[in-house]
Amino acid sequence: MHLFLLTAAVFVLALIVHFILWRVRMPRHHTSALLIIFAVVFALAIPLLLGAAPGWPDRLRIALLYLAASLCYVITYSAIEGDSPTLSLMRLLAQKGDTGLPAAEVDHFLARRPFVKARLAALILSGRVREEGGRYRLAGPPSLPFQIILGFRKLYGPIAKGG
Amino acid sequence: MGPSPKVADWWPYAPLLGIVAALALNVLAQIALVRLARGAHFLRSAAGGFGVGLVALVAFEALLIFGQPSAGESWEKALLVSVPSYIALSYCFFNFINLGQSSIRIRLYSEIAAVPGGVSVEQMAREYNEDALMHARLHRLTESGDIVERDGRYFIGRRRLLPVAAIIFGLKAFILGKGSEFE
Repeated sequence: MHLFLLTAAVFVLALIVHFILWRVRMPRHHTSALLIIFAVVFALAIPLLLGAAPGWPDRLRIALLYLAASLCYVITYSAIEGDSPTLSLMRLLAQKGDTGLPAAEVDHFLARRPFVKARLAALILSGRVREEGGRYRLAGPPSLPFQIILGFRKLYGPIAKGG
Repeated sequence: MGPSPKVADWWPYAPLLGIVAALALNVLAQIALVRLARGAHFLRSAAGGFGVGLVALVAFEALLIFGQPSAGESWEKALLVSVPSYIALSYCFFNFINLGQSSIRIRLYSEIAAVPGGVSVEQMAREYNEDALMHARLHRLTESGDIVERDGRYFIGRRRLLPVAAIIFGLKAFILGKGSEFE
């Protein structure tokens, strides 16, 4: 039980640091900032962990659980940070109750959330794609994370075009 | 006759290797299942892969713990550390494969990367028609019963996504101090 509680305590401490920092000043690159927070809090907790878990097998189990939980949070955070048109619409319709919403207003609601344009804008903002002469082109060499994802995806078969 | 001294030195690390091996099994089983289904039933393959890894992990832990004098403590570690670690790593793996499967951003990037001269703005707008995507989304939601269309108005249908929405928007308000990126 104590391994789990130790890991949970360090993880919660990292979350508290994250919440406080976000209140004080929102970082520009959220994901990088989160990864740094989780790494720094763990590094600072190492002396405590070395004392509380005397054997290396237990220390490594704590490290693995902490790493896995941190990555889970960073992944979930991206869903919190972004905006799901489906969930937004569901919430709005639930608020409207029995009166519902006219189809034209639902269309307008979704049109205000341009899914593809927002993703293209994010690719341009991140410096991975540039718009030039009426064409979208890669800006620089192909990104490694994208290559890894697409490389793995090829194991399943061809990727269909369009949405 | 117990394990030799060298094996005994490494024995305590076996549960760690078990987690990694279970994750590897999850990955291999998921790929095999999705290929067997010829790319269909993606979610089913992810659930299948997860199940295969979990069963293997629990069986492996049971083998390690069987006959140990401190079996209670070992089971506690297995259930509170190994299984949560495996679940968390599987969640990361699922999100990784889901990016390749459903992320519009990855699809856009792959299509732009596939053509040396790039893709024209018009072609991209044609292939990823916002209007068509919007109507496909509405169609999917009405088909699933999550929303209901009646006399030109939309109403909430099945409420299964509402708790998810409440959690996501609650966390968004708490962490980011806003309800939507458009607010």
